[in-house]
Amino acid sequence: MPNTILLDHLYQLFSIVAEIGDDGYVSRASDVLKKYQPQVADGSVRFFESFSFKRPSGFSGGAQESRSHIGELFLGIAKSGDFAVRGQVIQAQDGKTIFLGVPWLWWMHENVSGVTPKLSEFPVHDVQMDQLLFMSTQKTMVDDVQALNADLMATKSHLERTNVVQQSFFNHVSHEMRSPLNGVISALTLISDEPLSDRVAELLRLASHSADRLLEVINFSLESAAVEAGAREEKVSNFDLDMLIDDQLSGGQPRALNKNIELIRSGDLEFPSAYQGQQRLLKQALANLLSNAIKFTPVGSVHLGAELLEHGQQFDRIRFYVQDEGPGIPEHQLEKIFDPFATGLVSGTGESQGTGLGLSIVKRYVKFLGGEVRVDSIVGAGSQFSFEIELRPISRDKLIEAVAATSQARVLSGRVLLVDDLQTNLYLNGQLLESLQLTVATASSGVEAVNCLQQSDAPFDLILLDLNMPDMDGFDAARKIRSVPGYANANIVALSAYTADNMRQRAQEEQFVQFLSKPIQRNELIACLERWMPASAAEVVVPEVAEALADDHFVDSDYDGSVLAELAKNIGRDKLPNLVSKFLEESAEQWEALRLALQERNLDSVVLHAHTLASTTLAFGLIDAGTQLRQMENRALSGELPHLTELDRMSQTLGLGISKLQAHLTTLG
Amino acid sequence: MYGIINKSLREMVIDHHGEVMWQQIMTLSGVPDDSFLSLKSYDDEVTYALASTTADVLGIDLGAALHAFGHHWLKSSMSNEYAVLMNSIGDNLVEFLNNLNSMHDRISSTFLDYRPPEFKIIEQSAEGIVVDYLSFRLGLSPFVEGLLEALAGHFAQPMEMVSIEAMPVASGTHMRYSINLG
Repeated sequence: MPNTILLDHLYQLFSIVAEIGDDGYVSRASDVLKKYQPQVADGSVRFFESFSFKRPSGFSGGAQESRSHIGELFLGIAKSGDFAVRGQVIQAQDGKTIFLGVPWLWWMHENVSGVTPKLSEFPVHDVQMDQLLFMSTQKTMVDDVQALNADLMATKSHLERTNVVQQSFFNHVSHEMRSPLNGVISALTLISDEPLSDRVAELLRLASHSADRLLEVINFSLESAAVEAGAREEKVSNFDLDMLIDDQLSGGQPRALNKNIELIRSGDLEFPSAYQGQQRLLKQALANLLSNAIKFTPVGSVHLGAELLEHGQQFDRIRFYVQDEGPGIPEHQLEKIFDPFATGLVSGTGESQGTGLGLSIVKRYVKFLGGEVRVDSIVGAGSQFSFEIELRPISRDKLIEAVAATSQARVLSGRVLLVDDLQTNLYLNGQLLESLQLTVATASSGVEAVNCLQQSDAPFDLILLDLNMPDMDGFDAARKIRSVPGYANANIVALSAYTADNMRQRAQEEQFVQFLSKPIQRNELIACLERWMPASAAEVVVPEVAEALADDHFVDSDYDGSVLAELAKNIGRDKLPNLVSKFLEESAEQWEALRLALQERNLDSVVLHAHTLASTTLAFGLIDAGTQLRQMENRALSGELPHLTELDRMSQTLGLGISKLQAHLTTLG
Repeated sequence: MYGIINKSLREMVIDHHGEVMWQQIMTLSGVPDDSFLSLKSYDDEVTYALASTTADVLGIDLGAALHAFGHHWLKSSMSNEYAVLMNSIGDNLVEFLNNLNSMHDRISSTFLDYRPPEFKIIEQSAEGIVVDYLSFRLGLSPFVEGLLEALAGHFAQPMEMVSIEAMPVASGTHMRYSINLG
């Protein structure tokens, strides 16, 4: 076939056609080649020399060499940089080389702006336009996915904000409900002491029971919110699992003894290693399950156990369980037992059935630990609650090293001014700060604090300021402190036993850089100091590891001895007698001040002294007394004047707690 | 129709009347969700429901709403990810209309559910053109009119729609547009 006829056919199939002689020059060319590369098409420039070829691999140019690549894809970029071709070569019957191809669309799309080859420049069988469509489509799909993702994130963020607002509102309402409800409960208690007809006494008993239940629901709801907030921030720590289990048994012992129930540790009685994990969550989960088991077991025993199921390279799988001898749970109710407010599931134990929130909270604790709590029960025989979690094993030596290392990492130095109207608090918190190698000065009022700052030779790095002082409250004191030259931007931390959100928020909005709840927890104090105090490589806190691993346990509702043990660990046993002596002396003064306030019907004074006594008694583990004082404070805050006779009843509780505190102090000494 | 059409309709309403108006249209139309995926094929009823509700809410007739949408569709197609493809179809109104079917043919080879309309220039003179529009869909003639006007505008081509004639057809739509160019 003559080349002319051949080329006429090829023009219908390809938009770029070039007939090339062995000298490399083009003798005939298609219109599209003429349009984009006129100097090639008119034979001024050799075809293969006007392109750089990415393919075929190793092709260096020239008509003759091109024929050794027949059947291969040619990808050429014009040396002018504004055009590219893709195609192949064939050899005509007369020996000439013919290049057949199309514009290289994707290369031009990506590299040449302002020049778009037209649809008509591509034969219908060429799929490059389809490729461009596909690539454009892919970009559109990515845009869609990104837009949807942005929508989802915005919705998620909105829901989270809404949830926070709702939760905050719910917590606020719960707090607000708790104070008047405490007033109701106290009033009902007082009424019950009056002479009553049988019918009124029965109605009063029902009212008291309902009010107690309502208070329990509110307390559980608040705890539930705290679980959610706290668990998210929960960090891992190293702990001795045997000790943790024994602690739980010790904690449950007083209630078990009251009911004549035996608490038994079962499963593995000694674990070969210590562990790293979310210790506090594990404790809470076990404590709740154990408390439930004791509650629903009328006679017999309760078992708390842990078993090593699997020893892995990185984690041990451990099963925890609590077995009771309660009435058991019917099978059809097992699924609902962990639902919030699932009540009425058991009977015949003589115990209040509770709110049904405890197990719901356990379920959430265990979920945060990475497990799932389950229950197996036989009606009439008892129930077993269990869960499996993974914990990272560490050697017991490492436990000690890890605790030491953690403590040694807390490198602090500097001067702290501690302001509190109570000598007990000044002494206690002063000892805590000194145990952290800090220089501490104390002041018992806002005025004294200002004097101290003005007279001090060296500046203070941090001021810890009690909010509830009699003559000048913490907010006014902070304002005075900031008026002292050099302290306008001082780091002032608020201390208060009021943990209500509005108090916390007000403190952080006005004058204070942070809010710490009283009694001050050592870990929280250290975190606060690390945040606001300068670090020093020169001073290292000496850990008291041995003390940390050797806590004494002396726990019931009158008196929680773990608090004193913790104090011994933090400030040293030798400081305890002096501290307790100050506490007893100051408590006696506050007690008399509270009595006077009640006699004089001075509500503000009642609030102040009840608050002070509540926070100090709780700081020394006098749980029942502290709780009753806190209830009195709340009622006074809501405008209700407590009756003087309540103080007499409370004095018995306080006396019992103090006698146990003194006994415990003797054993520690 | 593909989600890209519904997205463009949403974009038009929001651009001119705001998000609140669009949400009102969504609520009244009964379409449950406006997270349209461009390349997902949606039931035509979704597009019809959105278009008719838009017309109701804006207080205009459906034809006017579709006409406006024709303008918007071309404008957005010429500026989104498909702009290169759109620009490759032609450099003037006549070339564009002549090559549009070829582009639709290529799209059909990738999107197997695609059922595009067909455009034919059946007469061409110095004064103008006569264009046939054929589709299996009903009621979209005002959209096509808006599209043709917008295309002419894109190519800076003065035009006047002289007549619009519904041609007999067994099913779907067959319209004939006589357009003066000058």
